[in-house]
Amino acid sequence: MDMINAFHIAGSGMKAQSDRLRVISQNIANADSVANTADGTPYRRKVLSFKNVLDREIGADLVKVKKYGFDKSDFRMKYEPGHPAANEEGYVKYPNVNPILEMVDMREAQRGYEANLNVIEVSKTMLQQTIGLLR
Amino acid sequence: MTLGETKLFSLLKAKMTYHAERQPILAQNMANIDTPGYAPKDFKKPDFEKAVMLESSRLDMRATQPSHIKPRIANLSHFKTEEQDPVHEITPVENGVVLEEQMMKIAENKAQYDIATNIYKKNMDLFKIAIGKNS
Repeated sequence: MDMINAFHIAGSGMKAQSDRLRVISQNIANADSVANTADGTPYRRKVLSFKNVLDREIGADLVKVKKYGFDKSDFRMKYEPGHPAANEEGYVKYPNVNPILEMVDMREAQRGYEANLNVIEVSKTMLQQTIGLLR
Repeated sequence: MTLGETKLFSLLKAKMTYHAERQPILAQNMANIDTPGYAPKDFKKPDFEKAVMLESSRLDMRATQPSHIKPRIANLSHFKTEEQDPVHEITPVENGVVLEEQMMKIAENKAQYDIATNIYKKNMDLFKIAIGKNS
């Protein structure tokens, strides 16, 4: 494997982490999106998982998103009798997004992104030094 | 005997190849810090003498006509990759990559590569002095 392939591999890692960040920001933005009517459903939290894909040209495992899914946990219920989406008992279904969990997830995505960025920096320095041998 | 075939430079070349090929493996580990079911990979302990002998006896296919096919061998590596047993911890999704350990390995890899590069430079400078060239 060439050292240049390290760039491709780290690049795929960074892309996976930024996909994860996109899903997280979607969840945070929609943390309070309720339905308009009593029988509608509010926003359901999205999740994603990663998988390895062997890239034959490089000969290494790249990271890709396996699938986007939904979090199957129950919706939060809040007592708001005057809300258009309240059911018979006066409860409104709120999305099952926990902002604290999302913040922690975001930190993890950032850490993964920075780690891969660091790999690119180190590989680049090594290559530059090798080229500097010619001088 | 060409300069590249002397013992010193063959060893240096083998060492630099080892570190240059180890970098993508470590980059792959880093890219997969969040992938479920991934165990970190690394090279087995290298035998540089054997690597030097393999390096000098390898035959590359030459393409002298436009219709000659050059084989695309992505994984022609003298060093064997192995999956490591996770010594420190496995997460619930069975990912065994420890960030700090991988960062340390990358830093160590780079430092060793720097050593090899500097030794090469010094020796080339010595040769240049011997042939009377002002660097």
